[in-house]
This record gives sequence, C-alpha cells and structure tokens, in this order.
Amino acid sequence: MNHQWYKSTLAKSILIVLEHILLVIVVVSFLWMMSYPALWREALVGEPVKAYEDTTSFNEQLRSCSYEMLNAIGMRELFETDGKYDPQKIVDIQTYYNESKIDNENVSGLAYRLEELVEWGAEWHQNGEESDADTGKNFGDNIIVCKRPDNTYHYYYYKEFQELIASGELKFVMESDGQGGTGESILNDLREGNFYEGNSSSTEFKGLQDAEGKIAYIDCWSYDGTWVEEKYKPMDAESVMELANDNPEWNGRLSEAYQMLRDSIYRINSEVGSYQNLESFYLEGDTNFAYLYVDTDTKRVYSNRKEFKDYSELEKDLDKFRKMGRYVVIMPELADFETNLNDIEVAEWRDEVKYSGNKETGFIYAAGVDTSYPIKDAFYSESRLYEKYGSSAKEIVWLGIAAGVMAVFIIIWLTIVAGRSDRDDELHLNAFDRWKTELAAGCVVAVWIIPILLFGTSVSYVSSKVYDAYGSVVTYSAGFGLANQTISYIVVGGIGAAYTCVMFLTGYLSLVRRIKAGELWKNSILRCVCGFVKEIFLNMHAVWKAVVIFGLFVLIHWLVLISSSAIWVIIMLAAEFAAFVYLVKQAIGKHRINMGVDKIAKGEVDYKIPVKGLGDDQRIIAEKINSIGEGLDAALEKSMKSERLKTDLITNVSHDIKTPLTSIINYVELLKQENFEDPKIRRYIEVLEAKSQRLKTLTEDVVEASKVSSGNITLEYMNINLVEMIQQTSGEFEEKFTARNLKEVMSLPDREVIIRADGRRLWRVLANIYNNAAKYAMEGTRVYADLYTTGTTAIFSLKNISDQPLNISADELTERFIRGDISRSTEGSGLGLSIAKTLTEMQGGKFDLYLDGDLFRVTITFPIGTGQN
Amino acid sequence: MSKILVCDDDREIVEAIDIYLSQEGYQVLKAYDGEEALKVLKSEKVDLLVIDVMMPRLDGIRATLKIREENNMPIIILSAKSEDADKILGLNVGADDYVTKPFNPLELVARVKSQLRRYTQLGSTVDHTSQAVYEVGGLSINDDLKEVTVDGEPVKLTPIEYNILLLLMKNQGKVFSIDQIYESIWNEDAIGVDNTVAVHIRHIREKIEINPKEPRYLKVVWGVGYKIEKL
Repeated sequence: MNHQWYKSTLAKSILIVLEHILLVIVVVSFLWMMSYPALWREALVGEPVKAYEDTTSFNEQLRSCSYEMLNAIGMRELFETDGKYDPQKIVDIQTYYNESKIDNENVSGLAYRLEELVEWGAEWHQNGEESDADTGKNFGDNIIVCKRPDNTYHYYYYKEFQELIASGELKFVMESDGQGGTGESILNDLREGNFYEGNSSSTEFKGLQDAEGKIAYIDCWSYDGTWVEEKYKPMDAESVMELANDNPEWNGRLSEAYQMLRDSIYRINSEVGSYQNLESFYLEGDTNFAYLYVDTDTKRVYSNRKEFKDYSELEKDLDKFRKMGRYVVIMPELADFETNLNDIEVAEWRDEVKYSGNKETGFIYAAGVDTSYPIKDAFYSESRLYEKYGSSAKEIVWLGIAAGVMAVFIIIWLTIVAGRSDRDDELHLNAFDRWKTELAAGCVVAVWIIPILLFGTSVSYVSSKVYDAYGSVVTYSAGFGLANQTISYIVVGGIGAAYTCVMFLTGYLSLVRRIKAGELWKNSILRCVCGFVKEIFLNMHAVWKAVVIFGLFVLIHWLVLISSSAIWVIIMLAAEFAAFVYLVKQAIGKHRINMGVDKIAKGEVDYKIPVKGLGDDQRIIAEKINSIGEGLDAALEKSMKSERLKTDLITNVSHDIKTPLTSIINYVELLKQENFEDPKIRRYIEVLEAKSQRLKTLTEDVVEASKVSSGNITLEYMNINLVEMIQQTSGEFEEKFTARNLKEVMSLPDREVIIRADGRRLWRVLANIYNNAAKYAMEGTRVYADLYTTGTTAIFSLKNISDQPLNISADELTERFIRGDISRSTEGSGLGLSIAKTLTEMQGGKFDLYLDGDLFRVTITFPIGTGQN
Repeated sequence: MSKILVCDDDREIVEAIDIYLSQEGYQVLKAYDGEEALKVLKSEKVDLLVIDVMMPRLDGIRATLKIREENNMPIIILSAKSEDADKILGLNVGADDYVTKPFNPLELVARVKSQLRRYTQLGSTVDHTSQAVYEVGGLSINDDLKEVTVDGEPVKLTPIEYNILLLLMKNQGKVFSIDQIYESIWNEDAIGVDNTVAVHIRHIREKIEINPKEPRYLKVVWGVGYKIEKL
C-alpha cells in the first residue's frame, strides 16, 4: 500500500461500512432518546440522577396532575352540592355568564336546572344547534318588536301580531298625508323583515292604537337579534320572550338573553364533560398520586383519598403528605411553601394553584406521590423505564453525537476520494455513473422511497403511539407496554436508517463523481433535450424560426391574460425583456452589416465587419461578407499588381525600342538627304520613313494605353468650356481635314458649356476622335460635330462616313488593338478609341460608339459642372 | 564656329547627330558616357551640350548636375523617357531643353540653333530704344517695325496672325478665350464663331515654334483659351 492508501478501494469500502454503522447508531440513539423524554432531558443536564422522582420529568408529571386536579376542584364547586354532583342545581344564566358561578338560586329571573342545560347542550352536540346567532331571520316565526310610549318594549311573534291587527285589537295609525302604505303592506314588510328600528315610524305610520283608540305602541319593527329555539322553559316562565316582555329586569333585552343562554349552554356542556372525566381519573386505588385542597374559609376539603377528608385532622394529613416519597404543600404565602422536589419554580407552582383553584387566598394545597409505587400507574411505568435506561442515557446521547460527527467526517473523506484511486490520478466512473443524471437520480429516489412508503404505513401506527407518549396527557395511559413498541420502532428506524444510508451514499457519491468529472450536466437528459431543441432550431428555416418565437411570445401573453398569476407576469416581463434585447441586438447587427456592405461596395474592400456580439445568423452573414471583402481585396490587389507590372514592362520595353528607333529615323532622314535619282530607292525610303513613324506612334500609344487602363495617371480637374475646347480641337485638325478634303460642319451652342475635366486628357480624347475621323472618313464627305446640352448633361457627337466598310461591332472598336480590318494598313496604333473611351470614363463621362452601315458616330457625354473651381 | 558636345551611349545616334550638326557648320565633339563628357568638358571649351539620360557609369541627369556646378552653357537632354515627370526632372536639374527619342533630326538641329543664338546673343540685344518691343524667351515682337523674330530670325506673319500674337504678347501669361480674341481682333460680337481663331493660332504656332505640337511660347489651355507662356 503506497502513500495514497486513503484513496484505496479497501479504505473506501471500510469507510462506507463504517458510515452505515455510524448512521444507524445516530438514528437509533436519537429515536431512543425521543422515545423517553425523561431520559434525554436528564441526559442534557450534568450528572444524571439515580431515581425517576428526582428528574424534571417527574416534576412535570406531578405538576400536570396537580393542574388538572385543581381545575377539577373548581368545577366540583360549580356542579356539586354538598360534595356531590347535583343535577337539580339551579343555574342562573346571567350569573353564570358573567361570573362563572352557579349559586343554586334564581336571581335574575332567567334560570334553568343544571340537568336541563346539560341535556340541551348534549342534544346540540349531537344534532346541531337550531338557533340563529346573527341574521335575525328566525327559524320559527318572525318576531315583531313594539315600543311603548314609556320606552318599554313588547315582543310578538308575527302570527300573534297579525291576529291582533286582524281582530282590531291593534291598529296602525297612518301618516296623515296618506303617503304611507296600507296596513297590509306594513304587515308584509314586517314579515319580510324589511323594517328596522327607527326607519318606519316617520314614513309609514305613526304608531299603533288599541281597540279603545289609545296609543299602545309608538313604533314597531322586525326583530333582528339572536334567537334560540327553546327546548326547555326557563324557571318560573313560559319562554324567554315572556320573560323579556314581563320581567322588568329583561324587558327589551331579548337578544342579550338569548345570547347568554346560548353561550352558557355550550360552556356548561364542556365543563361538565371535563368535570366528569377528571372525576373518574385519580380515584383512590387507581393512582399513586394524592392531593388535598382545603378551603380554609369554608373548611371544605377536596381530596382523592378518604383518609384526608376530615378538616379537623388537617395537620395530621399534611404530615402524611410530608412523609410521602415526593410532595408539595402550597399555601397562599410563598413562605409556607414546602416540598422535597428537585429544582422547581416554587412561585410558578404557587401561582398555578392560586389562579386555577377556587380562590386566591385562604387555601391549602398538598400533593404527593408514593414513590414506592404500590399501584402500577403512569408514575410507576415511567419510573421503571428510568430505572432501566436512565443510567445509560448520557452515554447514548454522547454516542449518538460522536457517531454523527464521525459520520460527517467520513462523508467528507468519501467526498474527497470519490472517483479517485490509489493506482493513478485519473478519475474513475463506474457503470452507474454513466447513466443519464436524471435517470440515476430517479432510480435512487424510487428504490429508496418505495419500501419506505410500503413499510412506513405499518410503522406509522407504532410511531404515532410512541410519539403520543411524549405528549403530556396521554403519557400515563399509554405507558403500559411502551417498552416493546419502542424497541420495535427503534429496530425499524435502524433498518430504515441503514437502507437510507445505502441509497444516499449510492446517489451522493455518484453525484460527487459526476460533478468531479463534469458529467453532471454533460450527461443529463435535460442537456440532450436542450441540445435537440437547439439543433432543430438551428436547422429550422428562418421564417419558421420567427413564427415559433413569435408564437411563444404571444402564447405567454395570452397565458398572462387568462391566468393573471404573478409567475406568468414575471415570465411575460422576462420574455418582453428578452425580445427587447433580441431586437436591439438584431438592429445593431443589421446596422453593422449594412455599414460593412456599404464600405465594401464603395471600394474599402479591406473593411471587416466586427462579428463579436452578433447573433448566430447575423454572424454567419457578416463572416461571409467579410470573406467576400477579403476575396475582392485579394483579387483587386492582384489585378492592380499585374496591371502595374504590365505598365512597367511596357514602359521599359518602349524605352528599349525607342533607342534603335531613333537611329532608324535619323538614318532614314540621312538617306533622304542623299537625293537618289532612282525612283525605286526613293520609294523604299518613303516606306521606311512611314513605317518608322508608325512604330514611333505605336510605342507611344502602347505606353499611354497601358497607363490609362491601369489607372496609373493622375487627373487635374478644372472647369472646361466644352465649346471652346471643340473649337480649339477643330482648329488643330483643320489642316488634316483639308488634306483629305473633309468638310467639318460644326453646331455649337452660343453660350459656354462648362464641365469638370482634365483639359489635357480631354484634349487627348477629342484629338483621338478627330484623328479617327481624319484618318478613316471617306474623302470629300462632311464630318458633323454637334454639341448640345440636355438638363444636366453635355453631349458631343462626331459623325462621319467611313471610307471602308465596318464589319465589326462598336464594342470591338474600342477593344485595344482592334480596328476595322482594312484600316490596318494605314498609320495608327488602333489604340486611339480605346484610350479615348478609358480616359472619358475616368473623368466621369460616357463614351459611346454607334455604327450604322458606313455611318460612324462617337458620342461623349459629360455631366455639366457645378461651376466650382 | 560653336563647339557642340554630343553624349550618348548609342554610337550610331551620336554619329547621325554629328552628321546633321556638321552640315550646319558646327564643330562636334563626341562622348559615350557621362564620365567621358565631363573629361571632354575639362579639356575643351564647349558651347552646347546634347546629352542622353540612360547611359552607363554616369547618367545624363547626374552629369548635368555636375556640369552645372561650373558651366552655364546650354544643355539639351535627349532621352527615350517621355513621361512628364522625366521632363520636369531634366529641366529642374539645369537642362535648357528636353527632346524625346525618337526625335526628328531637323528639330534637334533647330533647337540647338535656337539655344545657341539665345546663349550668344544674351546681353547684346538689350538695346531696345523703342517701347513697342515685347519679348519672351527667344520670341520678340517689335510693334513699331511690325516685325517678329524668333531667336533673332525674322518670321513672316499675316496681319491677323500678327495682331493675335501682339495681343497675347502684350498680355503675357494671360489666357484669352477664342471669343475674346475674336472680339478684339475683328471688333465684332463673337456669335457663332467657328474654328477660325483656332486655325490662325495653329498657323502662328507653326511659324514661331520649333515643334508646333509641343509649343514653347504659344500654349493652348484646353477648354479655356490661349496664352503666351511667361518665361
């Protein structure tokens, strides 16, 4: 084993096994502690006590018993007469409602027997209440409230009231102006409950009068207060309503009376219920718990043991308590507090007795537990448990904590070495790690959760019982047989923990390895789906793309409209923001591409569109344009270079030709001076002279043509009067024309025609055109030179009749070195028209040739200059 | 008897020029490169130099520069290089005239004569007592005598030609359009004027210029008019 032992398979296996054991320990100890609240409470505070009665749990248990007993004592006071439950006890509703007292006498007039109220409540409890608390729409008859002139009230049921009206014992006194309704309509309104206190008297009627015509009531309206269906009559009355009519105490307080009655019925029902329950607990012989509550004023004694019931032996009884295993004696003064319990808040105990018991002063309360536990009650079982496990509680807690810490440490260790091996530095993935991420996660969760759910239902019953034991009230009753259940629960918990640990480690370590290998996202189904969608999208036609995006956008907005939930609004805003960003980006991209295309089109072929930040589609376009630009640039560069090379070559060659040509011309000239008589020799010399002159022109024209076509000349623009220019040119060629008997017919405008051009180059153009005419026009014909303007252009044309037939197209004539076939034998290089055309175009003009039979026409067109210098 | 040094690496050309100049009565010295020309100039007094540009060892331009350090006799450059830039360079380094190959031998002779006359008569023809004499370069017009001379040689002009030349000579450097010339010579409105003036101008050029196609004095400003170059 080398220094990387901590990565080895063996180490990992041991760690994994350890992790399982530790986790099981943690879970088991935790569950165990949870099962016995007494234990873990003690475990957390210093040295654990030996006996249960010394624990806080014991104190709590005793205190909760005391508390319940005190409540029961309070209720005994209420419901008992001379220490016995008294169903005939008279309950005055008002007193009970206001002071929670049952004094066995009818003070207010509204009173029932206790028995009746309990029955009533039980019935409600079973069948549901038949009353109406708030609405005023009574279940039975509508109630009409009538107000007497002396501000007392009388309640009628509607039927009763209607009969009185019908028999004429009561009569509505109508408003004098007759605006109000009839008696019938008023009755209707009353039945429907449309009249409320105060709203009818002014509009409908003034009041009611009796048979004798005396005013009985000044107003009446529909009752809208609480109503209760009366199952039992109040004492000394037929009904609550009768009370409210006849008893001055209750007159006009019908709603209040019903309200009090209703509340009292509910309260008595629940209080009698708990009274009876408590009475049945803690009976002598059922519990080790004993109490004694003495009202020192009335000298009444409450206790669950007969031996303490004699008030005269109070001191003796208290001594008996003091001899019990654990006891408290509580009197109103804190100074009189006696106990042998550990660590209790005496003031709290005292206050509890003071406020839960019957009185705040003049009481003595004693409670105790026989710690020899002669009776096998909850105290006994808790004590047994503590005896059994109490001593080891602390160790178990610490074991659990230590195991937890170890488990965390091992998890960290495993996290670090996951996927590593002691043999190399590579990351190793197992077969499971190569599963798709979501699939693996789903598998782990599914395999884990299915048994947990299956067993969970059967276990939960056990666990619920255990957890009930943790609560206060049921602890005592559920205490029996607890140990067995707990153990089974702990075993199940332990198995569950081990199983969970297996699944967790499988999933977790695989996750760690995936993250380390960067496979978490790369190997996920989601990524596949995303990739697939992206692929579809990339290969989608642009139109469909737009349709899909727009459809989604609209869909989101419709969903917002329909659902109007916040999440969709957020998604909508996000979508809108995305759309905004997208549109702006598109606009920027479009602008950039436009600008780039513009620049390249204008000749800046080395311009590059910046592609950074462009969307996929636009980036592709921009890159293509850039490469077109590059191609153009390269091609242009190449052609420029080759043109320049050609020009240089031609220039150099022409220099080399010129030197020998000079000699030829010079010696031909010398020969001519010799004055040969022989006509043959003279003719030869003439040919030599002509050809040498032609060679001279040719070399000059070739150089110029190549310079012009390669753009190797600079133009000096100036304002030129085309009229003057043509006159000048015409003057220069006058002699040549005359020599061939050509007559020039000029037609020029009277005013100046100014264009922007290079004078010398334009002269060259015109000279070439004229020269052409002078050379190739048929002798004795006319040559027409016309200049005219149309709006923004100046058009010059020269027409002549060709001497020789022209069998070629106009285009061919301007091609370099091409001339009409026959004219090859005459002087000239054949470059004249080509040079003229190129020069014209360089200066922004247009050069056209037109051939029609022997008619030969050259037209050059220039934009008329703006007159600037 | 003027001594003329002809310098060209092409011996046949030198030979031909020698023949033409000798016919005119000049004494011709020969050199076949720049170095040689400088050597000859050191030993002999030369009145005019005709020199080629493209020569081995020392080319015409550099030779001209060296010669101009000491001598001020006329130099005519004779070159196959016919670009504007070449001509400008040659004239700027101190040459008096620039003739491109292939040249017309008679033109060359004319130019040599012209240069020599100006060179030798310089200072001697300044005794103009009359104000009616206008001069530019070797061209002179005496309005009192109605006489036009080029390098001292009288030239015969028709009255219209004379008047046009006089107008231009009086306003040297100024460009006159055809219409302006017509109006001042014929004293008529220039309406529907054809190429009359241009033809006259060409005739004048043929009489006063050595090479009418490359005029020294009467220049065409294309599309604008004509002028006498102010030298």
